[in-house]
Amino acid sequence: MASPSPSPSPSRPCGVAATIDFIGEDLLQNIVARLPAFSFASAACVSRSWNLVCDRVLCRPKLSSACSFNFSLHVAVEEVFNKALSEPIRPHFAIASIGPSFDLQQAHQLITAKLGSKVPVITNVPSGIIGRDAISDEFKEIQWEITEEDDDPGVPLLQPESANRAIMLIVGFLPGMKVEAIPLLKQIAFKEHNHHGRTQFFSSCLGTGETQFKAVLSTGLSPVGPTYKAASVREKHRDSLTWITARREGLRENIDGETIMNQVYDELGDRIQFPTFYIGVTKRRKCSIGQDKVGWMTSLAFHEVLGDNQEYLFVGDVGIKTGDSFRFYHSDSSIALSSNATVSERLRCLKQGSTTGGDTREVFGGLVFTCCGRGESFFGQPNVDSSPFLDVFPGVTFAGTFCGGEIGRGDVNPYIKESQEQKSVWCCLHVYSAVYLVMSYTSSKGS
Amino acid sequence: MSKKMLTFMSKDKQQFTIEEEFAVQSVTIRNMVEEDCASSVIPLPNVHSETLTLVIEYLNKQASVAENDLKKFVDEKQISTLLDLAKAASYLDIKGLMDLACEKLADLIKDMTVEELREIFQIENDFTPEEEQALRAEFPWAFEV
Repeated sequence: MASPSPSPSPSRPCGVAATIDFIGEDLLQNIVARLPAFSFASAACVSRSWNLVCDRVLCRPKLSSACSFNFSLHVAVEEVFNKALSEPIRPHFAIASIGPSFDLQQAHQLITAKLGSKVPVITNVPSGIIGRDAISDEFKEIQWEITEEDDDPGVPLLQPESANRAIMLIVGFLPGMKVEAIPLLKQIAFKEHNHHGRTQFFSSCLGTGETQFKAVLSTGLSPVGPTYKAASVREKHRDSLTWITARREGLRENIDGETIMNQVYDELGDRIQFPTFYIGVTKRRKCSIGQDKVGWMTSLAFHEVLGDNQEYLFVGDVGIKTGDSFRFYHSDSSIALSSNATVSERLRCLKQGSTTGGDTREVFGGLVFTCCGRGESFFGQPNVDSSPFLDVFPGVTFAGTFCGGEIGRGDVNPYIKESQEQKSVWCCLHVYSAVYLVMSYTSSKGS
Repeated sequence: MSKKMLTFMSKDKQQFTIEEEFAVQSVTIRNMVEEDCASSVIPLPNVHSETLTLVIEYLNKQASVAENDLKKFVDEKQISTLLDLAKAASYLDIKGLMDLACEKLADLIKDMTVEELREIFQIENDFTPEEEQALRAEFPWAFEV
């Protein structure tokens, strides 16, 4: 019984270009969909038909992320890249957050070397990272162990422990959008080694679907006490401090710092141990953007309460004026938990979102920026801030960092409840909060 | 007590028998059995005997062998063999075998350059040099480094 060796279909003469028929589109798609990103890019260059198949595989936006806790920076970078680029994806941008025991410049160089010159890369050193381990697949929220030397405050000691040697990589693919990184640098009193980047995007509609970004905020602050008005205000720009006295709203008497704090402690009672206090200052200012005068805008800004004496209350940062009204806020984990529950509800609504036209919306990724004051020591359990997203969107890429100040402009201002002013008072820089960025894609009908 | 057997005939007219119990992992075959068209010899004009031997081996093994061991089934197979296997699995709608073959194929081609891919799959480059240049420039991170 002769068994001829396998050969392509005899109807196809040798030497003529074989096309997809030899394999079949579906089969080719099945194969290339399993390729890691670099190989996938090669496959897309083989021929026109292969290119079309690849476009079908990678037609929706994608977010990919991985963390590594390897002691060696080089190995850690390899591990996160291998994991984050283990599936078809074309990096349009990358964000790398590293631990303080790694060298920022070196990390940035290693990453840009891997991605080439055209992909915008942001490398930063946050207060901690949140993401999935590239090797073990375990989801972790890790905050650095920092001890400060007395003689050099703000400079982290190089810890030999593994917790401070870490890297988290986020890679995104956003078809139809252009992504750029814009540096925003702010001088602060203590040594600041973060590069805060802001991604700006504008979309050119391809007609096949729409990518959307939605910010959802969870607050961890609870108001306490009455409303005050700033009376005497002295700004210390060099130290980025402000000294203030205040009046109770409606009363004329000027109160000193110590008296104010006593009033606040009286209001708070024994409810919270070791609270961190902030004042939320309502500022009505004339604003302009560039040359254009926008007009009056009212915003809410938080200033950390640093101390008091028999004259003044000391708060961080500047920008307060006489007449600005403010309230005290304190960090409160039970408020944070109930705020997280609200976030979960809103995420569930996003999940169910089928728009009226019958288009389906699919969430393909999420990022979280959570205050370094939150985390396991604040809540008493691990991964609390990650739970809303992980529970509602299991299997969807999710990552984030711990920060000192969270920028987020959600729909709702959670600090001013049920008042007419709610919508017109902006608060964009939060403390003790977790800001979630939810990325979704709505494919148009029939695609 | 004899089990129900099915008979397949390959493209090159060789006959193979297999227990129906194992054969119905192929959705195509299962449909035939349910519609009662599987009583006589089932012709498979798209599948060569060499490939069909492997398919039958897989179907027989699948029931008794652990998943990890089953993965070894595709070890040390050539790309052309795997392609034929994948095509047969697609035609017969055997998801497990298709996944196994495609996974292995992806693994084998993942380190290949564009030129190597063209050679292995006998694909002619139908891009103009400018088009190809532009394409590679789109993913500089894959080619530049």
